[in-house]
Amino acid sequence: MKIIGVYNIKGGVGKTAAAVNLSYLSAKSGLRTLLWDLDPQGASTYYFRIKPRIKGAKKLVRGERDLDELIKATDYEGLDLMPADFSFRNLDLLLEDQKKPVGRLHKLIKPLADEYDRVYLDCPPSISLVSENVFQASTVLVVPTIPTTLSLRTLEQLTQFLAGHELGRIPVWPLLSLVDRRKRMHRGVLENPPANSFETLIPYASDVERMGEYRQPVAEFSAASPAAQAYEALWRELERRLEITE
Amino acid sequence: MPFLLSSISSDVLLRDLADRWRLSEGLGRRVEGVFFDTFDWRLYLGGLVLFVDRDGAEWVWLLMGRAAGDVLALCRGDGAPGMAATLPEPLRNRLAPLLEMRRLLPQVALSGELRSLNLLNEDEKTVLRLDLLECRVVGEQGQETGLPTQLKVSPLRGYEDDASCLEQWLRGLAISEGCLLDEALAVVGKRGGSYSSKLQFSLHPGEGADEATRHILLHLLGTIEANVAGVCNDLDSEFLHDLRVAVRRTRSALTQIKEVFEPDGVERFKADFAWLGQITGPTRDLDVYLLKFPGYLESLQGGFRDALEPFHRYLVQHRATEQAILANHLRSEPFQVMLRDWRAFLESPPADPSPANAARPVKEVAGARIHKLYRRVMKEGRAIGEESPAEALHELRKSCKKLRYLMEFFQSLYPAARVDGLIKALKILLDNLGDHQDLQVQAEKLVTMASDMRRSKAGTHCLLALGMLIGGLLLRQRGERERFATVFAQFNQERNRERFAALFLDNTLSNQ
Repeated sequence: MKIIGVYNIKGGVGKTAAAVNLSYLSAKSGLRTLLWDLDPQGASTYYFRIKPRIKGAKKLVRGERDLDELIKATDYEGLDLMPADFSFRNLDLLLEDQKKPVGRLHKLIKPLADEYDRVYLDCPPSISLVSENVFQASTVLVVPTIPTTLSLRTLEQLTQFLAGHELGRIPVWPLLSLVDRRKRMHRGVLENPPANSFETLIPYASDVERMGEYRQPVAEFSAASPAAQAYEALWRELERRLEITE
Repeated sequence: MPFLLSSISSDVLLRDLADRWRLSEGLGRRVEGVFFDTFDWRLYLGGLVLFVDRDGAEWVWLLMGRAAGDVLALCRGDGAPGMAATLPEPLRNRLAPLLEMRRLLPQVALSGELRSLNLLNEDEKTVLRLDLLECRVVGEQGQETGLPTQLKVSPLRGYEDDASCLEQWLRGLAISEGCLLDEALAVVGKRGGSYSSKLQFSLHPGEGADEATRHILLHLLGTIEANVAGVCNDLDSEFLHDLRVAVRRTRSALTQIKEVFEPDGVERFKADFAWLGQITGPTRDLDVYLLKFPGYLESLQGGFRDALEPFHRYLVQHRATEQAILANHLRSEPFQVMLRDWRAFLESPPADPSPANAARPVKEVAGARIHKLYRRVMKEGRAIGEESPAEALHELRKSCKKLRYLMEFFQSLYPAARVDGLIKALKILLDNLGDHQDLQVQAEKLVTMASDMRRSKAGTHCLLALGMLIGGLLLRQRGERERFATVFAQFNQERNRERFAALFLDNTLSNQ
């Protein structure tokens, strides 16, 4: 089982779109896949037409309830979703009460190792105890990043944070997202991309925004679109990289 | 278990469903495939169903649970169904321990259409899937017979309540659950699990020994007849194995259950079955070598494994020759006549005046005979010391086998827990004696085959490898010989002696 944390300190960078489309393609390829919507806003959950839960975080964090009981099947074979929970907004506080707060998420996911080949974590923005849990649990971090100076700064902040918390071993793979080649600044970053960036770029595309309208992954309603093809290429590149990652 | 629509058409059902739930229909597909199982129904009895469908040039293998119809594995491959080794993964891994040496055979063919429907909630989210299979059984001549439409409800994880709700609604419509495979098999006159080489009689203690013996022998004849085609067509080695066991049991019944038939009446059949045992021997011997071959390879060091290849070829060629001779015998008129006459004899009315034991209650006859054989086993076993020759163990094995067969024939006359325990104890002793003798016979035959191979210019390495095998077999044989004293002492323990006496010495009908 490989765990892919889709994360950025900043919001609005295309995290959920990446998590939803990558997990969908993963399941399509035959890998048993789980997407965990850790963001209390529940956008991934909404895209899959699943109802978010209202209060489940406390029992989960305390170990009184297994993840297994809360998972829902999506409409796509092989893809399950751990729905968002509104009470995840207090996840930090709940985690703080635990003995080993940083390893909690990993402990919850571990029993699913025989059931899933891939687990995608759609993470809320900001650096918090929740994100530390994500770093601890993940095999790799995919970091959607808009090619702007400000975004690159947050990427730098992340790398420094990881190094400072003895988490420097986790591969950090930036994904240039919402790319608009008409913008000079974007073109500038593309010429000199951050270290370990995916070769695949996710273009700014109205099809990605329309996911909310269709409540489906892009490939389901617009398979030939540049966005759908970009996610397909990204997923292949990600799987190639995962193959050589311990 | 899936639902079978016998009293309602699928169109009416779908209309009723659409009144209550939102439905969306996915892409349907044609289904044309065959249910496969071994001759002795290993999948069926293991709670499994294997359906093999064609999709273009590929075979699509679908392994399901028999009770729930849930999909356990789905895979594609270009090999046709057959022995476990030819199955695609992950099926091979999963089924090989169950199938062992048995071949998957086509049991019944289906043709039809599969419709896939999704049941949606108010968010248009799929909460369960419905598969409607409208199909027919396709007979050997292509004739088709309709089957009830199968409706399978597949709950989606986290939405189990919706599935329970729908299932309850279906039951409310008096739609019953059932197994499509059972329905399809019934159309072609088959029944899952109907063949077993095991003996399962339910004899009545008071019935005449003559009648009970005929019953046993008719069952054994049924087993012989059932396996003849599989042997002639060389489907797998187990057909011949089961046939030979039934022949041995028949011979044992004929000689050990005494004075139930007129001696003149059965003399001819004793000779016939001895002949049948003899003509089936060479092929079975070679089957055993081929079945043991992977073990032989494993017992050799890496460098000598390839050297055994000419020996493997030798076995395969000789087996093909022996198999052809055997098939000719089994297809021959004299063999057919023998089976026909034997059945006619067993189904004919008892002789008058009847032999001494014919009309006696079977339990009296069985108990007395079993106890007598038991005493013989004990006498022969106790006489064996460290210096006794291999022949003494061989004789003891023969007596033990006779005893075991009798106990198995008449098992149903005794309390199951007690007689089962004794058969088990006897089996442990028989395994030791069997291994001791089989290892010796194998080693001796390997010596003969090695000389054959030397004459046909087999390489030095091959002969050396055979030598190592022979050495290994004889070493193991010595191990079994050394174990004999302990194994026999175990069988000879007081508890067993008491049980044998209690069960078989008191032959009054109240001892049940």
